[in-house]
Amino acid sequence: MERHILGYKCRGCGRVWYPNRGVCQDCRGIEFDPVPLPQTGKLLTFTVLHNLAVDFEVPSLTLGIVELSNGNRITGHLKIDQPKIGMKVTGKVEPVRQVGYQTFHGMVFSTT
Amino acid sequence: MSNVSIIGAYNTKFGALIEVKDMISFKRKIDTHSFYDLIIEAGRGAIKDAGLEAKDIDAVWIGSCSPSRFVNQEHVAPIATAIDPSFRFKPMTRTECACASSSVAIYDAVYAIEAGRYKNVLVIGVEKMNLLDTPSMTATLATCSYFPEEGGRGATFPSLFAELAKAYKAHYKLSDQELRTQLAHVAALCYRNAAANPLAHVQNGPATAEAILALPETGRGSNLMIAAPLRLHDCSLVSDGAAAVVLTTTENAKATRKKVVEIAGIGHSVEYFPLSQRANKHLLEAGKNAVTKAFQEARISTADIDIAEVHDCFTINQLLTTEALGLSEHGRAGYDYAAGRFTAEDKVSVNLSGGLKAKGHPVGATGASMHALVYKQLIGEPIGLAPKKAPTIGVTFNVGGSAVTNCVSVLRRIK
Ligand SMILES: [Zn+2]
Repeated sequence: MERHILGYKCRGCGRVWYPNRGVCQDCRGIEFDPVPLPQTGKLLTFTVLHNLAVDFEVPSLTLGIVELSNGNRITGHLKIDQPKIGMKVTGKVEPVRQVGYQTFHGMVFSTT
Repeated sequence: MSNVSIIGAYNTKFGALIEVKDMISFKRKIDTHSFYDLIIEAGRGAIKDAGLEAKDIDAVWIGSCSPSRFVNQEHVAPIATAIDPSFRFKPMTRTECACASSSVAIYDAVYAIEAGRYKNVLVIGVEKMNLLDTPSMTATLATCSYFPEEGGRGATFPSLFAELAKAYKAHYKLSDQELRTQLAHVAALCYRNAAANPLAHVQNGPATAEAILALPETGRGSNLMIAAPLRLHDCSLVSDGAAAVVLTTTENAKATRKKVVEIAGIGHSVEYFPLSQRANKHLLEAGKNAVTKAFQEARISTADIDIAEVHDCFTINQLLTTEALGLSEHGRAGYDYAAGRFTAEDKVSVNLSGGLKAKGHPVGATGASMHALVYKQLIGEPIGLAPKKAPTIGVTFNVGGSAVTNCVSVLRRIK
């Protein structure tokens, strides 16, 4: 099963919000339809972390902010050896953290 | 007398607001009303109820007890920016005083309005407890005790209130069965009241003390011993929910609103933290102190109270708070409840909402919920049961921890 991260499309004005804002910040609408976010976008910025929180059993982690093709911005993991700001990336939803039985999913971006 | 009034209120549905899916080896909980959803719903609801627009709100306070452990979220106040686009850049603060988190949020907002800094303030109380499993939830609540001596040694809140119950039983020379019967009458009154409250967590609880006393000791549907002498039906619920009120100057409220409820007096008194340091555990000394302060400020006495919402986190505390308010003589509250006092038909009604026992107890939301529901009663728009005679003065009595933080508010309809 392919997983998607959902955006929230305002029934009032059609704008898609991510993350869910509860109230449309454009038209104050409160009804939304969930829509899958596009998977391609442009890398806006990234940071390589070497000192990680508990539950991350890897030596380092690269986090980036990506502007998706619909304009939404989202933070995700980068599986890219040498990321460059402005590069085209493609995201997939994968497990990013495991705490007991609870699995947290998130966007993981690569260049393919 | 404060110069602050309540002009709007909102209470979300209380309950276990999750869906549980059976997986092969475990149950997965799906969040149907998230912590974020609850804050937004309550905030918007209270602003609308006050007849204001979001841009009219000058500041926001949010009371929440332990969101970092319940939902991995600290720094809660900024969540309120999502309530309306105009909320960006407004000052927002979160308060925490265990189960009294949102009463102290209301008090901080009162001080800010009295100081003249703000005119209209939104106060929200919220908790999302049901995503944790029961042992983790119990451990989280235990951090609200004095950890070096209590929580850290394995004490839980049922065990701390059991100490109060044992002290009460010994001081007033009650038999096990007498206390058990009195507490069952308290729980039954709350269950009956909650049956009429559409927002309550439990609406089909056992309606009589006899029904509670007839439950089996063990097994499915039993009245299990949790921490002697407190049983399952003596304990409040693990609930999700939020409530909110809008406060403004009484002067502004009188000028702009048809119905006005002033915060006539507040009493906020804090007891020694470890239970071991309290000589008298058969009564709430700090609670009585808070009652005295609130009554003096409001210039009222017990005889003036029409309705009260009291903190029945455990049924024993409903007896203790009822006595601290002077509604019963010391040692007599249990007899009074057993005699059928404090119903909607009585001169004074207690916990018309169903109380923490049956309305539910999303800990950080409870103080705001008490203020919201008493406000609704006083303006003649009760949610659930209404007292026989239209009330003018209502009291909220919210405690944090083992009755360590005590918050008593006197609310009075003045227009
Ligand atoms: Zn919109």
